[in-house]
Amino acid sequence: MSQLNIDTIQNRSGGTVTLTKQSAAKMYINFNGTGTVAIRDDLNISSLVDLGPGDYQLNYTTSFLNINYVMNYGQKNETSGRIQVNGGGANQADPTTSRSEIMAYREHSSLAGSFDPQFIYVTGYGDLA
Amino acid sequence: MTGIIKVNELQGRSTAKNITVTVGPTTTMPLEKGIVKAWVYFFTVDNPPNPDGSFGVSSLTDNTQEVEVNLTSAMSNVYYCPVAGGGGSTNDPTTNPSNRSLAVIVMSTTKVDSEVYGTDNNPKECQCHIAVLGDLA
Repeated sequence: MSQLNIDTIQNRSGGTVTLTKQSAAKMYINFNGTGTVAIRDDLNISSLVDLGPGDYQLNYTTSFLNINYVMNYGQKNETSGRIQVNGGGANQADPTTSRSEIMAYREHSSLAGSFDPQFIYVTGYGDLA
Repeated sequence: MTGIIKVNELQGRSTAKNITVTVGPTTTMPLEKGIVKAWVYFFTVDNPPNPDGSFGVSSLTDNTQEVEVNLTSAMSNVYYCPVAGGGGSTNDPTTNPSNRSLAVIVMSTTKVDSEVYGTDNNPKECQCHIAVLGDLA
């Protein structure tokens, strides 16, 4: 039976393990952006900061190795309009190894602008420091 | 010695899903936390919608301008993390992306709902790429 029961895996030098042709997510978060922001579930998030309407900062428990990591975003549309979530615009700070800023806005003919959605999802991939 | 273990299955010794891996010089993480639990590629025009490529997805359900993604294995709760991206407006992954907004929402431990809109705020067709992270039940 080719099954290994083990609790911890390191490489031979005690460092980062290589998963052949796979890379696990190093960060994810599901949060409510309305009112007092609330994390529903996360991996590697130390805190979530509300910076203003539709503007949030994710602080990581463990920093990424460099700023070349990748992020994906997801969101639920609201009854009042479509929602877009991304890595921010000119008013948002660039990502660093220890945090990133995200922006949410509503697309609507008369209600367009920064907006606090109920459901925001973010994931991050890359090497940790 | 190459430092490679060739094995077909890994389980935690104490609890089957609990395996800690070193992911930085000293940082460790639970392996199961970072592994994508499901992903799917589909094109909304297909009627009924069907996955062109997938993992951990049992089926797609057409729900009137929305497509429900049914997961093969249930997540542990409804607080998991689906993310999505929209691609071109034809079912050819090599075409240029179109301006689409692809939204996703957790419906249950086994279902994610998705919908696509264009800049005119009307439902549109689009290549859809969805991934699901979180803990399995």
